[in-house]
Amino acid sequence: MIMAGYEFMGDMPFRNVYFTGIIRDKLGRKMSKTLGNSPDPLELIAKYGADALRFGTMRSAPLGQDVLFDEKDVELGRNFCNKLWNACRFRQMQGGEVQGEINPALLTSDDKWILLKLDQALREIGDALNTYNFNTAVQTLYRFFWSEYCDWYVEASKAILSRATSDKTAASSASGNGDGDLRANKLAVLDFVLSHTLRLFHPFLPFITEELWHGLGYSKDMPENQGGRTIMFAPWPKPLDDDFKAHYGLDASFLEMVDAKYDLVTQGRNLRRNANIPASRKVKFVFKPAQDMPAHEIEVMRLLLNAEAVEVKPDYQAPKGTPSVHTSLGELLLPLEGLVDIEAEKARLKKELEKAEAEIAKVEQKLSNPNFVEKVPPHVLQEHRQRLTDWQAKRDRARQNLEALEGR
Amino acid sequence: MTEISKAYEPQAVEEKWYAFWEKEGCFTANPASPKPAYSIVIPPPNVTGVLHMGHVLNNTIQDILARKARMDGKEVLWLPGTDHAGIATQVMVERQLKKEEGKTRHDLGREEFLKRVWAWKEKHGNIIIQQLKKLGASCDWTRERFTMDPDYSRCVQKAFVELYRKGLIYRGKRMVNWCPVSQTALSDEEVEMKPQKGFLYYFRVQVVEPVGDSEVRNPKSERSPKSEGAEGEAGEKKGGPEVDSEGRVWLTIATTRPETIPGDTAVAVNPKDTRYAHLIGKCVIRPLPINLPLEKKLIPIIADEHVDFEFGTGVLKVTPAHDKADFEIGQRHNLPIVDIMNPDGSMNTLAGDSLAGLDRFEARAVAVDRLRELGALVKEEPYENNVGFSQRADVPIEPRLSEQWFLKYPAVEQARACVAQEDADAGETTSVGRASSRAVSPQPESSERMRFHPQRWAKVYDHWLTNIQDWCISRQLWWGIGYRCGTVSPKPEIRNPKSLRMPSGATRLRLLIPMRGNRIPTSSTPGSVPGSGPSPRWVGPRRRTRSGNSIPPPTSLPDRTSFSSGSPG
Repeated sequence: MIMAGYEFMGDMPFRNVYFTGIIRDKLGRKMSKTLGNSPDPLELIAKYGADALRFGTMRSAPLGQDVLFDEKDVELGRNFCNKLWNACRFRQMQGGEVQGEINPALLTSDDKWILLKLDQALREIGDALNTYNFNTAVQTLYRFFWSEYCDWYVEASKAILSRATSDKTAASSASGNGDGDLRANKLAVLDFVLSHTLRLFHPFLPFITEELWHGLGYSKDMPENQGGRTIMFAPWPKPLDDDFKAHYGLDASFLEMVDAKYDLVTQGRNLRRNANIPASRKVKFVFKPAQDMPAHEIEVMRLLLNAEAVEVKPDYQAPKGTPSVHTSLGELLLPLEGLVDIEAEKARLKKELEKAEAEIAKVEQKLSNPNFVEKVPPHVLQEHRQRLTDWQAKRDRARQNLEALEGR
Repeated sequence: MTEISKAYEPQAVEEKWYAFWEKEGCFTANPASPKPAYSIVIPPPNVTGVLHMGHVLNNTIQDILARKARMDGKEVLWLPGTDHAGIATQVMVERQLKKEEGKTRHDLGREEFLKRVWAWKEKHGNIIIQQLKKLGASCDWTRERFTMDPDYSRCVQKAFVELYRKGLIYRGKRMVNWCPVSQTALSDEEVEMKPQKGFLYYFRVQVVEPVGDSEVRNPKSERSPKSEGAEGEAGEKKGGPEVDSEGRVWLTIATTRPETIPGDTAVAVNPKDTRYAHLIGKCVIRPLPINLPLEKKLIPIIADEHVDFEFGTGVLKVTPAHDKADFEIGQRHNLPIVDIMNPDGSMNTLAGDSLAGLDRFEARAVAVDRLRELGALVKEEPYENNVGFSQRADVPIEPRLSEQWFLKYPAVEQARACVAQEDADAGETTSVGRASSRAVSPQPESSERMRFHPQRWAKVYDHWLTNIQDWCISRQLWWGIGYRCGTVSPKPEIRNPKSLRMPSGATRLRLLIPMRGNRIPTSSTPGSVPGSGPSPRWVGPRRRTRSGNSIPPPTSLPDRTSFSSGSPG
């Protein structure tokens, strides 16, 4: 084609040549009729949807390398579509019109964090597409939407959204109502992020994005031929520029601060898990802040920790054995009184420790037997090694928790 | 705002929006648009094809690029089409014909058969298009092409004639896989290798000095390697020439196909094989056909590095007309080519009186008998080897020399020089062939070079262009873009198909451009003729574009395994 371009048109026919890999099955074999390892794409579309098939295929296709195809990827694509669907539905159920205006004065740290994360995703995806790294683009979309937006931001937003749900009508009609303004502003941020996200996703997931684009009413805000009729012609979202960032106070320090907050939450969740407290049980955390924290931030932490309360007590003296974590924002403690029968918990942990040690001894014995190691197939050996590591981790965790309870 | 239902149901959503996009003309490119143009030509799937995962990957990528470009404010044309897939389609229809009516295409004749193929295409050919729609492909279906559309064919024919006039297309002889039952050449993909039990026949030939006159002198036996005490491993091995009590020197040759002996025009040994090196340049007496004057039986002993020391005795009979490897050896040594078979696999008169008219397998048995009678047969051993079978007729294929058309690639140096050999990020780019390309065209600025993603393919491409060989572009098929080529001595003359009257006795040939089975899948039909896409901008010297259409040649030209594109950003 290159030669024909010069020969017949007198010019280079194109500027970029992209090479796809070969699609192989998950074991790395070529797909063929004889092996029967070639899935029928139409069956996959019927089962999971076309968007799911597109997303799954692109997610597993690194630039120019062979693609190891696994139906699980398509399943993951479908789960992703469902996540997108539910996230948009959540927005719609908050009610209210599409919110165009964001008031910089009312932005929370979480709002600024998600806008900065969106900006980062826009840049990464733009770069990835310009260099034909489709699979990097898909992975960034996945990270941004599933983890940053759904797992953190939407959950944190409930600090404002759930507060005002009870008096929703009052909030949206009465002006000067602080909660109502906060709520409207939160919805405006959600709309801003979602309308960007849907456009970012459209080339990859054309159908579901079109449906949601209209479902959320974003099409109504756009000129007829630039997203009004169809998302296909909506402008590709541009990274946020410096003026925008200055106007909305999107300082990079918010990334750091909110990351630290979420890190604190992650560690707090671990405290609960280690203490074997079911998620349904409401608990109280005690927080000893390193510096002053606004009440709203504490409320966000409470929500994300699924706690009954997060009590701010700078001078709190913890009883011996209280699980705690130290972070840059302060110390988070989980007092166990009343929550856990300490003696019963100790007994349980001791039992768990014994079981782990017995299992470890069993596997170690097998693995020290040369007859076993040399004769079993590699995957069995691998499985035993994995079992050893798993039990060792369980043992260490039980020992640690036991020591904490004993106040050692 | 409509209410978003509780659960996502892809089927309903997909059908609704695809129908909407099509109805609203969202995929239709507007040549009058002021927006910058962006175009992709689909690597056309075979018209016989059904969607597989490779299509999913390839077309999803194209759709992502097309949809992104639309959102970037470009006027996008993603041009779809299907490939007539000459062999695959013809075979499919032939099978159907055989099954349903017990007929071959020859029973119907060309015209009627082609009607059937078109009917088949109309009925089944659109399956893959419907499947691409299911995937969400945003192709401009109003401009869908088929690689045998009249306009399209015209462009391809034009290209053919133009290349021919420049001397870049020529006729030559080449080995093809011939099916003696279907009487057609086959692509490599249509040949199936099967293990076959047969025999390896050893026969001996006498070595003589090459002389101009008919007198045959024996070589001096004292020059045999053994008497000279030759060194080297090969010299120690079994085999090697034998000297009889009368001082005559004999070579033993192993073959699975003794019936082709009459077509032998040399015997070959490896120049490094010390057993035989001293005999290179002498001749042997070919045993078959028997009734020939001696001087017509003399064939040379030649040295060729491709001869395997280990096979048989290390001496190879060379039959350029009936074996691919032997043909190559023949080309290297300028050997005569003696075709001893008819197209149906029977022997012709050049095979000698005793073989002529026999089927190739009957001829094998007779040839063995003749060798035995001559005392030339040394032994026969059971032997298993892989034999190529025709997928159509399930008989061994016959490598056969036939007249084909070849393309000498144009603009090779330009095409080689334009591709950047280093990553954009790696600083200064270089381009191979720079110095030599300067004479052809100015070196493109580095920013204007073509980029390969991933970059490593640029090396492969460069290596391929460095070693490029002429491309066999013809097939003996009925289903394809046709050319009538008349032969008018002394030089073959090609005329515009429309104005051509067939000279009597002219060969008639159907050509397909491009062909499958070349070394690298370089081009798909629409791509190989720029301008045969959206609007025939390239229409040859006499007809300029009529529509004044502004859509330029593709910014993106995809390939079956690779495709290219303009910058999406």
